[in-house]
Amino acid sequence: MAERVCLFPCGGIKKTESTVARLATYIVNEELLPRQTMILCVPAFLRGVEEDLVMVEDYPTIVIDCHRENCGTNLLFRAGVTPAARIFIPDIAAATGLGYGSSRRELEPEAQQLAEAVAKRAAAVGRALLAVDYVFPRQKIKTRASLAQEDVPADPFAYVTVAEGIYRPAAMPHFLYRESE
Amino acid sequence: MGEVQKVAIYPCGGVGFVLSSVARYAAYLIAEDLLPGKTEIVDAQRLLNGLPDEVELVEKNPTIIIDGCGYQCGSNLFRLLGLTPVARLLIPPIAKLPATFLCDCAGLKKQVRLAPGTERRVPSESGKNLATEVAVRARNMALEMLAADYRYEPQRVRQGETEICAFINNIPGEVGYVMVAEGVDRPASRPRLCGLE
Repeated sequence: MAERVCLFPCGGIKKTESTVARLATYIVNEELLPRQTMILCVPAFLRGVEEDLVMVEDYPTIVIDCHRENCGTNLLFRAGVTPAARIFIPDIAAATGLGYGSSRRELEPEAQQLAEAVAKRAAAVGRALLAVDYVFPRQKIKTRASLAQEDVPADPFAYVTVAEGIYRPAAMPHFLYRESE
Repeated sequence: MGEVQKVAIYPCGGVGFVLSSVARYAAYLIAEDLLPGKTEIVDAQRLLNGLPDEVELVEKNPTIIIDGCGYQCGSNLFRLLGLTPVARLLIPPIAKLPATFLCDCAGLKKQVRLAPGTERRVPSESGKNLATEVAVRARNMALEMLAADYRYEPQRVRQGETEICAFINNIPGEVGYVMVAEGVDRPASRPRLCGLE
């Protein structure tokens, strides 16, 4: 049983979508699953900061991809880490009809609502991964990787759909997703 | 070597600490308010993903790094990529400036309190003040680079595999930083910032 879950918002800054991913992560970490979640900081992870290495090796990771460029997923693949689940924001935007707006610095109300919708789903996934019957295979980070090269295959984890906007790598254990909780 | 048309701004890219939110906010201030069209934010995730426009941005243009905290992850990322920035701002020394600091906020000299605060989603008022002070310093540095007599030689991102997730103790030493002012450094191999040194 996992005691905590690692949240990995894509970490981008250029697109408004990445601000949505980040805000959704803060909502989960501070309001919906406080003390049960940790946030992965990619620059610190690549820097070798111990807590960021431990959180992806010893705890299940939920990656939140904000765009079809899949930067979050691809970074984990480069590092040899398989996430337990993936949230894909464009699917949730399409399902809810909520837009991203145009303000990266401080989200507009509609984009904030989208972040809340993403957070709600991420928290539901988090609860499923914290369930007593979920067994998480410990991960091992690769110590060497290529960076800044377009060499990651499409869909590197062979994601399977769990629910709208929620995916699981084919090689990772099933989890019981309940949106209503 | 050629004249600089645009300056890339790379805020540390962190998400856990408040200081990374301040760094990010400062980058938005520079790129959207202070020097729009002359500066562009580096998106670390897109860069790591090898997206051609993001790689081209850091190869063709000089980059100012904004490191949010003592880990200096922004500088480390450039080191991993085999790139050298032209200057670096480190926020903690700037945050330690006197509690009421005369900040050149948007050209209006006024006394403000500089402190990161506790709000990660959007920085608090003092966090925004701190971000503004960082942004103004970055703008001044960028203007030096955009001047006719500043020259920049394009560089290339390292190809092949590199060692990741290894802790390096002395990032300033690895990059070869020399101090320009409180919270402002540049690699010794990079041109002097004449108006600032």
